[in-house]
Amino acid sequence: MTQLPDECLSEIFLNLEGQYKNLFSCLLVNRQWCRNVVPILWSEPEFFKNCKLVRTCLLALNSEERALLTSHNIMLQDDQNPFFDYPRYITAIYILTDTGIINWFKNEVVSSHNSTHVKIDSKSPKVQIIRYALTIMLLRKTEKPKYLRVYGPIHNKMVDLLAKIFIHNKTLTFLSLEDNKLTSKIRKLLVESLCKNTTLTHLDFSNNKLDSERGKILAEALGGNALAKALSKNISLAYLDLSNNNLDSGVGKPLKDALSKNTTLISLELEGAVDFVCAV
Amino acid sequence: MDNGTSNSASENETITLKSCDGIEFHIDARIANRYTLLNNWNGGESACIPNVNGKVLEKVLEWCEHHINDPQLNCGDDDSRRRNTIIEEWDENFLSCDQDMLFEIILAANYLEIKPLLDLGCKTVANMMKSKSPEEIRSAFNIDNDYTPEEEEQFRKENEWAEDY
Repeated sequence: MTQLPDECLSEIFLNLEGQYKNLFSCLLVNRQWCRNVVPILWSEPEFFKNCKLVRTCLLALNSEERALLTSHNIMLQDDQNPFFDYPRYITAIYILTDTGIINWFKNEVVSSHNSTHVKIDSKSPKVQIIRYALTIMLLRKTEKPKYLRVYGPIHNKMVDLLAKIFIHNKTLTFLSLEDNKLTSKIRKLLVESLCKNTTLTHLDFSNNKLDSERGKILAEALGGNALAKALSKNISLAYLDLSNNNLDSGVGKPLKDALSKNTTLISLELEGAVDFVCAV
Repeated sequence: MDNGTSNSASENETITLKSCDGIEFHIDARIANRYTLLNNWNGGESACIPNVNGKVLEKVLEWCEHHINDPQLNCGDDDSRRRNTIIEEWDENFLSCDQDMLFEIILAANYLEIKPLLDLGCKTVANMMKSKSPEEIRSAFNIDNDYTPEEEEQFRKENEWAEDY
């Protein structure tokens, strides 16, 4: 039987991208196949949805991240090192749901303590700390992130990791930071990276609901001058979503000026910014 | 995009290719012009192709000849190459050879950098794997299992999430 080299096997498996069951069968065929399937199988799994996926990824936490769990009395039973450093192959990080974490917690922690009466949901501190530990692990390990969607609060450690991705990474095309109650640090980072970044084509910044006072400050910092400046310099962005951000008419003019200089943007969402749109 | 008509070679021009086992093929020079690697060997009247035997080269050239008027795709665009999942009837018949030959064609296409033929071969093999268990795949392709039982079990556990999708 003719043996195919890795490069050909990899080409073959790319045809099965997204067909998880088929890729799983191929992975179990032999070692050479496994080596070539893993990067494709792990490129875009819907990470936080599945408790078995969460289980495997928890094995990749470093001691610092494990310590976060220990401080909340969460002990990982499985200490075996995984065969591959799977998370480095993940290119799409969607942090939108906690279903996988909640189910993992119910299956592996609660049931072993016979304490089924404990109520676990997205608001539980334990779920939140697991989500945080996994998020920083993923941001730390991902080598070629293409899609990044973070829903919920962004902590300082995450800002540093995001900064590293924005500035050094040449693969990111889609960024969504919805509903994050963005701090001034991340705003500044976003604006800086927009100026430099040449690969990003989608930026979703919607629902960062702000009270009107903070909204005004953000609008000035982001929409008013800095974002406007960034937009006039950016050469790749095609979709920008700024819905529901309480942007007011004060930022309309600078943004309009910036847009007239920008040549790549083809879609701009501004739902919930009526005054603002009038000004534009 | 280059549709192939701007090639400098005219229709009647031929060049000679020689396989690694010494079999000569007289081919339309436009074929050599289309594919970089064949073109690189197109220095003299005859060019020798190491690594590809006569039987396989004959098949590869048959494919090239049939597709001589295809529009040339931008090879850098991996996504658009793969998105096209339909295999034409002629190609399907062409590749319904024995498995060894199919693998030899893939190897030769990879070696000669004939991307569309490589894609076609890989797509055909991928289709043969669909909806099969690991054991069925091993027997279909005559592959030995080199995992230890413990390894296999651990790989299964680490990746079994994939069964839920």
